[in-house]
Amino acid sequence: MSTPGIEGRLFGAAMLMLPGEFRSEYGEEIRVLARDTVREAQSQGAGSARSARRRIVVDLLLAAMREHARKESVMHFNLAGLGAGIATAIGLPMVIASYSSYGFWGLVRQTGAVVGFDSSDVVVHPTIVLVGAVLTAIGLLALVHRLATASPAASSTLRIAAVVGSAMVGLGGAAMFAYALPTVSEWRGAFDLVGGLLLGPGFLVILAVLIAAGVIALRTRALGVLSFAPLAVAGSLVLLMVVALLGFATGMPMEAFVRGPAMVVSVWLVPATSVLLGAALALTPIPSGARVRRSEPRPA
Amino acid sequence: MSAETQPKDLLPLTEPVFHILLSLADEERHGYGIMREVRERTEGSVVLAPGTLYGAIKRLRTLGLIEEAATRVDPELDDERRKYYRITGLGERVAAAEAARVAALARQAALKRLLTGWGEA
Repeated sequence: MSTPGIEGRLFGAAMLMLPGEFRSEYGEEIRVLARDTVREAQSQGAGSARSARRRIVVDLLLAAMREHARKESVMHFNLAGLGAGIATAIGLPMVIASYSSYGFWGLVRQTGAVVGFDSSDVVVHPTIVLVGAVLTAIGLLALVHRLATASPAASSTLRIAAVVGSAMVGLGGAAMFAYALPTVSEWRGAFDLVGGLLLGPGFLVILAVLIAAGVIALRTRALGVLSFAPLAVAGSLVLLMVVALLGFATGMPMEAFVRGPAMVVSVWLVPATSVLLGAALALTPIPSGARVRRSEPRPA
Repeated sequence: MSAETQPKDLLPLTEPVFHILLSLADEERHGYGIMREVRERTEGSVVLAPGTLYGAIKRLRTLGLIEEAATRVDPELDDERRKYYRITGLGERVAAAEAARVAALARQAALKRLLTGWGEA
C-alpha cells in the first residue's frame, strides 16, 4: 500500500498484529491487494484514498482479532476455570498485600467497620494469610492441570510443590498468629522463628512453581494467547522482592519505603498479573476434560 | 476435510465466503480480482477489504472449498506475488446448497407477503 504518513505506519502496525502464520502465508498478497485498492481509490481523489487506507487498517485490526481467536482453539470460557481463576486472582495478591501494602490494610479496616469486626485483632492477619494460601494452592493446582504436555513426573512435582509452598506460607501465617497471641509469650521466639523459616521459603517455592509452569505453558501455548501470564506473575513477584531488598539495603524508614512509588507500583503489579492469570485459567479448560470443542466440520 | 463431509454440514455460509465462492464459480481469480468482481456484481454494496478477504480465503482453503490454481493466468502481465484461486467440486456443491437454502428462505418470506415480486415469472 503506498501509504504516506500515519496511515502507512498504522497499516504496518496492523499487519504486525496478524498471527505470524497467517501473515507469512497471506501477508504479501494482502500488501498487493491493499496497494491496488488504494491506487484505485486515488483515481477518485485524495479523500477517497485516505478513506480507503483507514478502512483497510480497521479491517486488518478486526481480521487480526478474528484470526487470533480462531487460532486459540484451546481457549474458551469454562465454569471450573472461572472458580480457579477467581482463586488465583485473589489468593496470592491477598497474601502479598497483607505483608506489604498500607492501602490493603486500609481496605481491610474499612470493610471490617462495615461488617462490624475489629480489624486490629491479631487473628485477622493470619486468617487473611491462611485463606490466601488456600486460594493460591487452588490456583497453582489449576494451572498445573492445564499443562497437558508436561510429563507425569513434572506434573506431580509441580503439584506437590504447589501444595507444599502454599502450606508453608499458610503455616507461616499461623505461626505468626501464635507469635502475636499474648497467652503464649514464652513460646513467642519459637513461633517467630517458625514463621520466618516457613514464609520466605514458601514464597520461593511458589515462585519456582510459577516459573516452571510458566516456561512449560509458554513453550506449549497451554493457556493460548495468555500463556505468558504465569511468568508475568512470577516476574511481578521477583520485582517486588528486588524492590523490597533494595529498600531494606538503603536503610529507609519502613513506612516511607512501603508508601514509596516503587513499592506501590511493584505491589500493584502482583494483583494485575494475577488477574491476567486468573483470566487465562477461566478461558482455558482442563485438556483431559469431557468438554471437547467441535472442530470440523463447522459452518464456514 | 474428510470425504464424508456433506455440503449442509458447512452451512450457513458467511456473506464474504458466499460471495468469494460465487466469484470463483465461473473463473479463476486473484484477491484483487475477487474484490472487484464482488463489488461490481453487488453494485458496491459488498466491498471485501484485504483482512476479511484473506481470512475467508484461508478458511475456504482449509475446508477444501477453494484451492490455489496450479497455473497462473498471465504471469507476464501480472504481479508475481498474486496467487490465483479456483473453486473445488465441494466448493461448488456448498455454494449451490447455500443458494438453495437462501432461496427457500426467500420463498417462505414471499409466502408471508414480506418479499414482493420474488419467484414470479
